[in-house]
Amino acid sequence: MSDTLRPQSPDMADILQTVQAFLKDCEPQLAAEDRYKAQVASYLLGICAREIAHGPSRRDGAETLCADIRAGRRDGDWDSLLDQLLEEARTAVRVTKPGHMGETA
Amino acid sequence: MATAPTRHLADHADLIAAVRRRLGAGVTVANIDIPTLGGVNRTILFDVVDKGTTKRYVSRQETYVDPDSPFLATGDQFRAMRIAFEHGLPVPEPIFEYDASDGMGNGFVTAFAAGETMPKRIQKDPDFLAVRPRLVADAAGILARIHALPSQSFGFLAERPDSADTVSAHRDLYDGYRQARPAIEAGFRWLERNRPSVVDRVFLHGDFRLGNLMIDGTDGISAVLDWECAHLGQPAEDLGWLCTRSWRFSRPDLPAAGLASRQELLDAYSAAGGRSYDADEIRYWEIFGLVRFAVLNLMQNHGHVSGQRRGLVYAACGRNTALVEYDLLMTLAGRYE
Repeated sequence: MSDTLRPQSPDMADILQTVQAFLKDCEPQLAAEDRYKAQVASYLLGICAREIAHGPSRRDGAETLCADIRAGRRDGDWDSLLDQLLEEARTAVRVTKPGHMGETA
Repeated sequence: MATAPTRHLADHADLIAAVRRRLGAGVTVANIDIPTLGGVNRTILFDVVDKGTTKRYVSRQETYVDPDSPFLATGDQFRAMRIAFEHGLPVPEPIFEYDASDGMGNGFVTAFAAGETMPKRIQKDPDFLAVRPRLVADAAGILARIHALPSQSFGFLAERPDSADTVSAHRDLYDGYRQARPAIEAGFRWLERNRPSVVDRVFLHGDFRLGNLMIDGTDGISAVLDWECAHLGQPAEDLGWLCTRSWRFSRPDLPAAGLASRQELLDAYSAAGGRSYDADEIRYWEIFGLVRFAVLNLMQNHGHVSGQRRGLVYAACGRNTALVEYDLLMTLAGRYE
């Protein structure tokens, strides 16, 4: 017996889109606060869809990096540290809210 | 503001009794509304009719007391608002604080301030065309008056961690949320290496930005709201928070609240009697503002994942930390103004 999962249909991206469409359809019938929450819910599902498309996250030694920054061990290569962190931040923004880079650039 | 259907007055016997205790047994309470966008605190709007005169009030009650909350207790908020009000600042008039015999928990009642708080409407809507050009100068004038309030009146804020050292206070909050975030760590490192040499302690509003200013289309700023972050510190901290990129909303190109340049704000502030600052002194507190906002998002995330206070919006705040970190890094790298 194997625990391999064969591709299922609809796939996760499709399910998330379907639930988002349902939330969109509900919006006109909702009072202000629930309409806002439906939009937030849809936003969170969008994040899930983009994160699934991106692939799994990985443990990346953030604790060690944080300790080094705090202790001043990255003061000497500060600019390259910022470049590295910005590269990671761009990936996180692309998953979270891709428009954020365009909006504020 | 959207409201839930008015409940029967009998559901509010406690509120009505509390109001009559303070304002007189002869007053009537009417038109009770519960705004649905209340957040963590419970907000009730109501009219008090006294001998044919009707005045609208707002009741705020803490529904949940987080022992680790970095925010001011309602009693201290009320005290700070009262001092500001007595000095003629535009604050909703503080009416009374609840006490144990009210059975309403912690909270207070103020006069109702009408107007608009939605930043994007204030920045773009034609209704605010007439007042928009002067909002930043008016805000600077109000800030100068807040910072000139007698600091000896605010001894009750002196022991707060953010009054002692707001950067360290936020570092301690961040550490408490136990998430390793290299971007936030870099922000704190930069703040520590670039600390301003001037150390003065005046009374600060602590959350002075669009969203906490009630704007009237004719009169401009009608009230300064949300005093729960008030503390002692350097005036530049309040000015920098107003310019923090996250609070420019639809106009990131205009540092002062998305409405004017940084220099226009600083000129108006010193013309109103405030200290003279150069733009770099304000930029320091904008970097702090981004670090602080990132930490506040982590706080909401922590409340959610720890199960203390779960909710969609708090979950979204957790994920939005990444957006603030991006803005912080772009600013640290000199790629954002």
